[in-house]
Amino acid sequence: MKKSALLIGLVFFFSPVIGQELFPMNEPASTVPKGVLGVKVLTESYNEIRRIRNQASLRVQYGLTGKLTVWAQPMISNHHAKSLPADMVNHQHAGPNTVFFSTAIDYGANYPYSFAGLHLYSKYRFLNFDSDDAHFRMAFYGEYTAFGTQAHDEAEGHLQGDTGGAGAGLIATWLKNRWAVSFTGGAIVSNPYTETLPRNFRLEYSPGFTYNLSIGYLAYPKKYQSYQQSNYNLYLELMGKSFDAASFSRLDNERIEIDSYALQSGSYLDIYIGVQRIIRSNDRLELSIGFPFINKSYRHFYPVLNLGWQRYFFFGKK
Amino acid sequence: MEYMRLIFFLLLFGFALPGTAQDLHHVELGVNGLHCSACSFTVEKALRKIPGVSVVEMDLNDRSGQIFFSEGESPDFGELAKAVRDAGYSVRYLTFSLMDDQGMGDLCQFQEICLSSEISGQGPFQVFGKGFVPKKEWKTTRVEKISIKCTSCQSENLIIPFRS
Repeated sequence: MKKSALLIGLVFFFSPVIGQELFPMNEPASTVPKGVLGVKVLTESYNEIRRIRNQASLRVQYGLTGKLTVWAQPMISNHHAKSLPADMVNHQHAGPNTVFFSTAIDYGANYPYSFAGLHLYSKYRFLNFDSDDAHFRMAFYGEYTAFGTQAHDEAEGHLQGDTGGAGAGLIATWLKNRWAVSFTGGAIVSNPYTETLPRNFRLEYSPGFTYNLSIGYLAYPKKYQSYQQSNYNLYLELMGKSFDAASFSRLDNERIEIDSYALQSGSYLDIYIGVQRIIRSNDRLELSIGFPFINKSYRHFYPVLNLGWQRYFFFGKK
Repeated sequence: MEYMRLIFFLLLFGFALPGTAQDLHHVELGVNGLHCSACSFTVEKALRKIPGVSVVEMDLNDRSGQIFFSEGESPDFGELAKAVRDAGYSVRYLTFSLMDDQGMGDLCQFQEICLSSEISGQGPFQVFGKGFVPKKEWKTTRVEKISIKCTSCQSENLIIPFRS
């Protein structure tokens, strides 16, 4: 898998085609045009042993200026129960004392679909060097997830669907002649999950660092003819994250020993291979599939299937 | 009486031409940063919103566009450049030609753009200024070395012969 991914990467790097930066997974440094409303529907699915886990999001984005984009993205998923799994925390009695400890949960449980938070995002493009056939752009972004109070039972924080909290980072996108590459580096701080009586749990997630690298490739057409002509783009995206172990305690500050691998520290790099069709120069249909590249994320199982559709709405057109 | 008639024609001439720049029917815009048909589509939509613009024809392969104006109207060049910037891109060049080389003075007055002394004939001409050429070109060009034809001009933007 690693060798094939490297090979694909090298082919993209040296192949004589025009680069594309409309990445399905990653955000480029480019922004939504001023006064334009963008709507994007995203889904993420994977098979968790005997259960299909799904998440659906509706991203409503707007170009406040030519350099500043904002979006609001409500999300629903069947990732979590209303409270932490009953088998996540066990206890044993040692004389008069009760000792709590976490254990690996039984995956594949049936959880109903529920609201998974409202992701708010803002991106400001502060640098751009444009030329005829190349550009280099940089942007910084900030994000915040409100109402992200799900019973997320892994150490990895994830603001788009699993935890509430905030994040910020930098994006650098370079398009030169026939290829495009974009790097995003950032940090996230997830809000702790708390559960009051009768269990009184507090699960604190450590800050995480994200690092994503995307490469884009225009497969068709070789030469543009009209706006009606469909475009097909191929993408290779590496999505990574590092984070420390979670801290688990009772609300009376009694520490719960962590024995579950899902609550340990981790770092990983997933690889996503994607294809995108752009219809009438506006509708974006995209499909990407993710596999583990270096280590694994315990937030989801593999492969991860992502589907997306996006359209821009132009107001006041003639 | 002849004197009054002369004033009347001067007023008529003064009100009509500087505001309409009747000699200018279209400009060509080179746009940097365009990398896909969706981007080109976005720029076209932004330009079409500007009052006075009647038709926009983008060339997806050349990363340029022909912008045609409604009869008797010529939008501010600055508005055209701003529309491109607001769409997330930058202007590589803005060029135009005139039907009648006598109209250049009125055009300069209407657009508030100075005239380089190299200008002659009907064009093609190029607007040289911040936001009308790539940043690098703007920073490296010694603007003070370009001699200006009009003595009362205050603008930082110049009309020069098109450097293709």
